[in-house]
Amino acid sequence: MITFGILAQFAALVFTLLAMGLLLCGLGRNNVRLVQAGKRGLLSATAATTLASIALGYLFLTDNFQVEYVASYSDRALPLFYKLTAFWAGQKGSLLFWAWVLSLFITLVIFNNRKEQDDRNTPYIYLVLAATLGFFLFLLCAVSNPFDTLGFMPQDGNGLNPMLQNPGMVFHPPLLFFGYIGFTIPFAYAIAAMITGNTDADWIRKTRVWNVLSWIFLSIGIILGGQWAYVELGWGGYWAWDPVENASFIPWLVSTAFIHTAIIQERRGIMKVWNMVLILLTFTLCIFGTYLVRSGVLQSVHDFGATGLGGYFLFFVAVVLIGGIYLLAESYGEFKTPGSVESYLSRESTFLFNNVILLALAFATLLGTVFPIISEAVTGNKLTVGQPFFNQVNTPLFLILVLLTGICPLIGWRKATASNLRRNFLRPAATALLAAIIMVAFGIREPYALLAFTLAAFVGGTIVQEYVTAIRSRKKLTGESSASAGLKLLWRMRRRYGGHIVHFGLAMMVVGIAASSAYKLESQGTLNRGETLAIGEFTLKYEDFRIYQKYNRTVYAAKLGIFREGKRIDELEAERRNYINAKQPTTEVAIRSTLIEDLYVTMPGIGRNNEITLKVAVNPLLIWIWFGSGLMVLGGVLAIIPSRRKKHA
Amino acid sequence: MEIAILLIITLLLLAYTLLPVLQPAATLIQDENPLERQRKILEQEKKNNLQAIKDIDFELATGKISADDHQELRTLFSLKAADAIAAQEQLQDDNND
Repeated sequence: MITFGILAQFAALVFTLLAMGLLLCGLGRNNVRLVQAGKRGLLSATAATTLASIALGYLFLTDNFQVEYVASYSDRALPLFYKLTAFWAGQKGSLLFWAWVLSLFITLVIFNNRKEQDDRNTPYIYLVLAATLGFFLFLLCAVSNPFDTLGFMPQDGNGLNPMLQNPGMVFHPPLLFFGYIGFTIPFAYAIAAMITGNTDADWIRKTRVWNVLSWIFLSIGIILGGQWAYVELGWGGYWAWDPVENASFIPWLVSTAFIHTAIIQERRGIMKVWNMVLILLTFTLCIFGTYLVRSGVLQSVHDFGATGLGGYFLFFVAVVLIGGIYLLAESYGEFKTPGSVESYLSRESTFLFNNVILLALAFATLLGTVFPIISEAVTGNKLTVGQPFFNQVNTPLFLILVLLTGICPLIGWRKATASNLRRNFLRPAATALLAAIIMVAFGIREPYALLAFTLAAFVGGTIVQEYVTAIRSRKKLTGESSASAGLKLLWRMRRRYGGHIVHFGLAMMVVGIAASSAYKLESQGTLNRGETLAIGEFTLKYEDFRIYQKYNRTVYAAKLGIFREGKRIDELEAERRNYINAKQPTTEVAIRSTLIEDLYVTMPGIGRNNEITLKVAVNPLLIWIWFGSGLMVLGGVLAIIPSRRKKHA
Repeated sequence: MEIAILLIITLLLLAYTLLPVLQPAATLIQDENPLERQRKILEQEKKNNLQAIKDIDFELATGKISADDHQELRTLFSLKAADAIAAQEQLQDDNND
C-alpha cells in the first residue's frame, strides 16, 4: 500500500500537469475539446489524489509503523476515530489533505458548471486551480512525502499528542483547511476575470456561495480552535494571539471585508479594483497562513518544527502576489466605472469604513505575528510581541467595528439625511444608554467592558428595530400577522437577515469576550480529601479520588462537590491523564457551564497522599461566545441558501 | 497486485482524460463582439437601476430615507433605467438594420 500511495500521488501530479498542458493548448489553439480534456485531467487528478488519501488512511488503520508519518502520529492503542483523524495531525498528512480537498472542490466546480458552455474565462479558471493543486502535489511528491518509510518496522508508534485527542481538535484543522482551500475558487475566478478583462460583478455573483461558505468554514475552524484551547490546554482562556491562531484570523478579517464590499459591487457595480485586491490578499494570506503553520518559522503551541517547506511556500506566495499585482495593473483600464459613492451618509460609506477597520486589524495582527521574523532579520534577535500588544492595538479597533456593525443597518443605501438618521438612531441609542446605566448601577466600571456591553446593546437594538420596522411595513402592505410577516421576511430576504443574524451573534460574542476578560475570578489551592476551596459564590469540596484505565490512558480523577451558599448544586470531576507513549501527564479540564458563568477547574498536581492542587476560575458569560459564534454561522448559512436555481461556480 | 490495479486505474483515467481530444475540434466561445458587450453593459445598467429603485422603496418603508429623498432618487434611477432601456432598443434597431 506504501508504493500504491506514492504512485497515486505521483499520478495525481502527472494528471494535473497534463491538465495544465491541455488547457494551455486549448487556449493557444482555441480548441474547446482540449479544454474539456483539461477539465477531465483535473477530474483524474482528483481520483488519483483520493486513492493516495485512501492509502494513507489504510496505513493508519492497519498500524503500518514502517511509514514514518504513521509511526510519528499513531500507535496501536489509539482509538479508531483518532487513528483516522491522525491523517491531518502532522505537516505531511495536512498537505495531502489540502491537495485532496482542493481536488474535490475543483470537481465540485466542474460539476456545477457542467451545463455551461466553455468560454475564454474557463481555461484560465482551471489553470489557476490546477497550478495551486500542482503546487501542493509537487510538495508531496518531492519535498514532504507522507509515505516516506523508516526502513524498519517499529513495534509501536509514538502515538498522537494527547492534546490533539479531543473532538474539537479533530474537526478544527479540516474546517480551517476547507476555509483556506475554498477561497482558491473565487481567487481563480478573479484572476480569470482580470486576464480576460471581464471585470464586472459576474465573477463575484458566480462565486458568492464559495466566498460565504469558505468564510463559514474559516469561522467554525477558528471557533473550534478556541474551544479546544479552552477545554484542553487548561490555562482558562480560548484565545492567546498565538501565531497559528493569528494565521487563520488574518484571512478571516480580510475575507470579511471582501464579503462586505462584494455586496457593493454586486449592487452598484463599483469598487471593482478594491474587491480584486481583497480576494488576492485573502488567498495570499490563506497560503501564508498554511506556511506559518507548516514551516515552523514561528514558535507556537501548534509548533510543527522546521520543515524545509518555508522557501517553497514563500515562492508560491510571491508568485501569487507579484502575478496578481501585475494583472491588476495590466487590466486597470477595464475597471473604470461610471458610478461612485454618492454620499458620506450612506451604507456604502459605512462599508468602506468597516473595510478600513478590518484591514487595520488584519495588518496589526499580521505585524505582531511576523514581528519575530522581521526582528530576527534586522537585528539577529527573535523578538516576540505578546498578548498585551495585540490587546492594546486591536481592542479599540474591535470596538469601532462593533459600533459600525450597529450604525451600518441604520443608514440607507446611496443617501441618508440627518433627520432620518436621528430618527433611526433614537431607539438603538436609547437601548445602549439604558444598558449602560443598568450596568453602572450593577457596579460595572471597567471602561472597555462597559463600552463593549453598551455597543453590543446598540447593535442588538439596531437589529431588533430593523426587524420590527420591516415586519410592520410588511403587515401594513399585506395584512399578514406579525409571525407570518416575520417568518416570510426572514425567508424571502435571507441575505439581509442572514447578515443581521451574523451581526447579532457578533454582539453576543462581544458580551462574552468582554465579561470573561474583565471579570474573571481565579483561585488556586492544595486540598486534602474533605477540604474546600472558595471562589466567588462557589465553594469546591474535594470528595473522592479514583484511578482507572480507559482506552489508551490511565486516568486520575478527583471528584469535587460544588456548593453555593452552603447548598450542594453540582459535582465535577477534574482529571489528570497518563497516555501510553506520552512523555508527561496532561490535565483534563472540568467545566460547569451556565448562561451566567463557567466554573473552570484544572488539577495541575497530585501529591503522594492523593492531595490535589486545583486551579479554579469563574468566567462570566463565557458561553455567550460559543452561542454567539453559533449564531454567526447560522446567519451565514441562511444568507447562502439559494432563492432559485441560479448559475454559479 | 496493488501496483497492477493502480496501473489499470491510471490507464483508464488517461483514456477518460484524452477522449475529448479524439472528437472533432470545436472552437471556444469567443469574447462577445463589441455590440454584444455593449448590450450586456446596458442590461446590467438597467438591472442595477431597477434594483436601486427596489432598495430605496424598502428604505422608505423602513424609514431610512425621507419621502423627498426617495422621490428624488426614484426619479433619478427611473430615468437612468429608462435611458438604459432606450439605448438597448436603439442597439437592437441598429443591429436589425
